[in-house]
Amino acid sequence: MLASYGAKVAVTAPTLEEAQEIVAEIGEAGGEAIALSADPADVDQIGRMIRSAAETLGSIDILINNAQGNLRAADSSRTFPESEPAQWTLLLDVLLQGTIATIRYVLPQMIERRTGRIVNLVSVAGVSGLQGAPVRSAVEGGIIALTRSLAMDYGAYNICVNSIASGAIRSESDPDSTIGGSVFGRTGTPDEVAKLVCFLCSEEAGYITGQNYMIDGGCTLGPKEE
Amino acid sequence: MEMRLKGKTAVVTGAGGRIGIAICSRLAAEGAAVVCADLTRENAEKAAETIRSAGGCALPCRVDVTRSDEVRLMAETALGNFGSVEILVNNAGGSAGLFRRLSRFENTTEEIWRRVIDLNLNGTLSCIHALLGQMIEHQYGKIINMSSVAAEKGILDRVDYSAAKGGILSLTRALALEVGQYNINVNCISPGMIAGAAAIPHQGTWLGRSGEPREVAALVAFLASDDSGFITGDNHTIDGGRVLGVRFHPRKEK
Repeated sequence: MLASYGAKVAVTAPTLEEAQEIVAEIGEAGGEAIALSADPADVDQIGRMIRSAAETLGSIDILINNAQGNLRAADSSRTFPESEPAQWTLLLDVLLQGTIATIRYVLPQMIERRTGRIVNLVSVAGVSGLQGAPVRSAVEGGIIALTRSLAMDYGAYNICVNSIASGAIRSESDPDSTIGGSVFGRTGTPDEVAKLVCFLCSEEAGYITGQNYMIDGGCTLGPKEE
Repeated sequence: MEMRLKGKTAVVTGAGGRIGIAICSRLAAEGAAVVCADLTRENAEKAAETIRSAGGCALPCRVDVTRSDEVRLMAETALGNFGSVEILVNNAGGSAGLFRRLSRFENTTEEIWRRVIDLNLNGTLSCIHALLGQMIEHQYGKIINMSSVAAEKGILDRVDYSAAKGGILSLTRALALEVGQYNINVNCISPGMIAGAAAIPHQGTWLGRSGEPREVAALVAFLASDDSGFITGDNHTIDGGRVLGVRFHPRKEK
């Protein structure tokens, strides 16, 4: 959707094939994109990837940290007292350190050019906690706190940093996966999240910074049971 | 400009203020017919005229939101003219500064805090109550309430205002729970340090500038559109990061 609004997009994924698939879709729709890959747990690879993106595109004005998929299982495959450090490290490395590293390498050229938008995507777990996912909740809460601190530090350079906490969003592979929770009796769609991302990246949202915007159909409202 | 609100009718209270006019203009520019409601006829006309001169559709309406009979009349006028109201923006409000009575709470009077709570909290409740029934009937509605950073953080000399805005934030959450099943979204916005027409440099925000009314209006339009259909019951702060972080309050000697 960012591409449809005219942005040149560097699509990054753990494997180049995944990224290329999305770039092909953007191309078919008339947008402009390049594919890059990095292991989200490898800080050096992230640094090289960002440099390569900046060189190819000229500059990076917008950074969307959306690497969060496929990790839900890492926290919930075993109960917390039975969990192994390797499980936590995966979440800490990919989600928290990956987000920190990506921002670290994108920021200098945003500071230099005195413009930038950073949007970090997390889930409601980081705001309200999530049963069976203590480490993921901690990591996402960390990303929200990171967002607020960065907003203070780099606001003077006209860089806005915000996070989005999503609730049950329908996945394309499993459209009926999670319906519960929303006051609307439906799940959200990836398109709806994309609309919010585009709004926060638009020129019009330039006074919004350090905020966490929820898109959860109200699933965090109210007490545990009626 | 995208026409996301084509065919919709919006009621905006406090329409004649600097943020109110920006909201009215933006909603109209995106295709909505706008009922410009304000305490004075002059201000209501001013907002409506701004819309009309840009080619939009507007209806001025004088209303004191603290009077439920006048609010009901406003709803009847809106429905009589446009048939239905899909969007309600509860923008009327203000602190005791409106009548030059800001003070430490120890020095305030019951008359002052009742006025402030009436204007902000009861005014919002009245307007919602007057228009909610037909939204439920049509299974569609977007309610946007103006809260404030005072709700979550408190502001000196505005204990009553902070309480009223906190009430608006809480009613937003509870109402969102009740009416989600009717496809009605309820959200609130907390603006901070919004200047007149254009942003001015300001040390009070982390961005180093004040906000513009048009920026608040863009957020209102987003929340009033179907782009935000899965967003409900939340507060949306737009303040240049004004209330982030820790403040070190110097201890005053007595």
